[in-house]
Amino acid sequence: MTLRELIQKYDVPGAQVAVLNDGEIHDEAAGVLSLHTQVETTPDSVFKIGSITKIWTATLVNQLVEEKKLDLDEPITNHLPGFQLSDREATDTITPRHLLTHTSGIAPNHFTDTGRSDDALEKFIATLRTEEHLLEPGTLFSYSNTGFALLGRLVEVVRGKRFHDVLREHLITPLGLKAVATDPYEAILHRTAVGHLDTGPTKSWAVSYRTAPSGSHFATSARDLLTFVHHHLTDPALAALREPQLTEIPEFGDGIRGYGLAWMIYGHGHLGHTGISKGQKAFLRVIPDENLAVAVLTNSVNGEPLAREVFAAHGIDMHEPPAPPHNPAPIDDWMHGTYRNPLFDITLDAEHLTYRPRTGFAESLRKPRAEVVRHSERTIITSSNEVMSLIGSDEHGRAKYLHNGAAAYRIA
Amino acid sequence: MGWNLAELIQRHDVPGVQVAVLINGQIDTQAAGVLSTRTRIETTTDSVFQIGSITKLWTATLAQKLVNDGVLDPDCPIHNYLPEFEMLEPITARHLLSHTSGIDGNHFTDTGRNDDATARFVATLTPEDQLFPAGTMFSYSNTGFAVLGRLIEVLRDKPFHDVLREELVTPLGLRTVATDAYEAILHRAAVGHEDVNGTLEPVTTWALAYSNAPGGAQLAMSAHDLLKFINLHMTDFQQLREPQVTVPPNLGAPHWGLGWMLYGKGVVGHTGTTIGQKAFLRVVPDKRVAVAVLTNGLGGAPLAHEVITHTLRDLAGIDTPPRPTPPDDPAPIEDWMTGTYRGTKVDYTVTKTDIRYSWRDGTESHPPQEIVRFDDTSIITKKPDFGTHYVATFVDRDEQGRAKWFHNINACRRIA
Repeated sequence: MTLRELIQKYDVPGAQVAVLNDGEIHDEAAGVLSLHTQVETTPDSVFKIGSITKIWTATLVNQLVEEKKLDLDEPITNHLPGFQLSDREATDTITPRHLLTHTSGIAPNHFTDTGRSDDALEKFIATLRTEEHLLEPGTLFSYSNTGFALLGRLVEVVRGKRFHDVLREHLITPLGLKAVATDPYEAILHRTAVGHLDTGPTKSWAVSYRTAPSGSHFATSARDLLTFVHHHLTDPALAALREPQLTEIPEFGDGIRGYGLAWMIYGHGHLGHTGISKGQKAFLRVIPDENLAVAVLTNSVNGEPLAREVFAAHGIDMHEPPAPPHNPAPIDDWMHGTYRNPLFDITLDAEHLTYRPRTGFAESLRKPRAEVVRHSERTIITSSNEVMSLIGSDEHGRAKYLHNGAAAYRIA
Repeated sequence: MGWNLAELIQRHDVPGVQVAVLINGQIDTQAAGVLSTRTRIETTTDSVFQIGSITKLWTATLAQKLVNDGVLDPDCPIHNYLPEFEMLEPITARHLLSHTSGIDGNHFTDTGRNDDATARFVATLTPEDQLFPAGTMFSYSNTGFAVLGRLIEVLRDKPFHDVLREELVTPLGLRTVATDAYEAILHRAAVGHEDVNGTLEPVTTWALAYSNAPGGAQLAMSAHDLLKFINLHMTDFQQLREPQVTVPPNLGAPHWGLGWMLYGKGVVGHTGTTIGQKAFLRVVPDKRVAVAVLTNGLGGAPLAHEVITHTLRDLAGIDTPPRPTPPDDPAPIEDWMTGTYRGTKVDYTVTKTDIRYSWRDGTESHPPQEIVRFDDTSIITKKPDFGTHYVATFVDRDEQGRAKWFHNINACRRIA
């Protein structure tokens, strides 16, 4: 099926696909950048790549390691003297490796808006001083956007420059990338994709400039993304980022088997990342042994099945979306209980997840009660097909954590 | 509309243009060309262009609303509303709106993209930034409009753009208005073009510093929506068009109102220039006629002049004076004119044959321009720059009979 047919099949307004094969990149584009503007997608248009940005941030960190300016296993406070979390011990323990592997114990997101200026990241990191810290560093995997913002701040301080300036000087310019934008003031100079929800184009192109290093603002063409990936496959110094760091990842129904440094590791030695940002979904898969990489950038929340079909055409299996079993086993007593994350106390019973907000912000999310059924030995699945794992075992044999990518710990 | 836009943009080397004509409440629009020579996206009638300093009419309207609401006295010193704002001599909102405050015009200091950008910008101003006592002379001041924007923020207790949206954009139902790149990127958005070694190239910076938004650094919209706003002025806000000050000769408009440029013969309007984008507005309120020409190229001025001349003649029976050109047999530039004059950032050295431009540290800021005498008190650049000859006028004499001010809409004081 052509890309033009695929976007129709999956109701995606516009998409770009690039394939890196033995050092050669082929790309194509189809559809429109926005249903409002009806501007055609071209191969040099830019799409937001969301959390795929984390691999770029990890690359900037690795450059510092190569230059002996940073050690992955030293506390970040060696370079960020004023940095402080509410948990003093965690503050002094967290290393770049913890952050790169999502094991720092820092919550997934924090919500203090620190603006759109150059100092947004610096100000944001300063707000962590008063935020609740949940898990001892190194305890377990718990995906954290804030952790990558912290890495971005580390890059800023060690380089003595703003994150985006470092990104430009140390990756964009040396790699000769032209179709990239670090904010809308740059993106507006290009053909730029606008995200789409089921209801139409999004009302905002990007929010949360404070978390740019974790993927709130960066946009590229599929070709330029793969030029960056090609750099990873050809520069031996970057192979270290692909080494598995975590092999025991809770199951979330997304096919991720482990983590390198920022890289997600799928089965059969495939690597990649996914990025979701304001109605845009981006997918990257890399098979280093075959010198093959495929990037699928879409401007729709419906991008995933399209990406699955594109990957399949290149021999890359993308995990099927999880679904509730036909005859689910019951949700056992050892799973029941109340689990806490910074926003909610979440109670799991035999049939439901109930969210009790812990903050005014959480209240404003109006998160409804969800129906759940047993999914597998250690997982449950919600009626919107979100898989959560129940991890660990306390002295009573009960699960210690309810985990949906970010961990909540048992309080009752 | 009796012109061929596609032909006009080719002849004037303008990548893209929008034209809107308002007559008796009815708006017609046209578009031609591309939004950027790099993206080659076609200009449509709902694309957005930066309107630059035409934004000052929006800011003036918001100020007048404060006056109408009894919240602002236009003749009361600003200091009463902004206690931290201290200049050498008292300045009122009327002074700011009519460019007679004496505040040096072109700081454009970048204070970030947050809601506090204008507040922080105004805080950088010092009494030394006032060049002359308020009310004594005209000197176009972008900086003064940032102060007005701050005044509006303080009196409404909201960021400038929120006030703009709540009081004008939303009530008028303007769908294309974008107050920053985050909003503009959701539309087809024009990118400016500038001269790079003789070829026209898309700019690499989309907009001027956010701090100067109330003076016209960020606002973008379609020509249609600009005229929908202007239609409001056909019946309201007449007081903004009352003449406030006489402008030195040959500087674009003989008089200035509150925000408005008063071109004479019942024509009012404004011009906007941002990074590589040029916007033009002419309004004949008595005839309920207006025309807006939004362009993304340096040749926008002569193109707009053709369209405006045509429109005002056909719809309002008004002749538009030709754009200034060097006289065939110019008188010499005299000794009393020559010397060095200080602008906000650039010093201008006028000789009998050219103007030289230098930064404060003495290094050249732009290549010199040849000049000739234009009339008794003005000079004009000899070679057109994308169809425009620039005029400057000498104002007042010092005790030695030399010009005191070099005036290129900004009053620049003689320093040598």
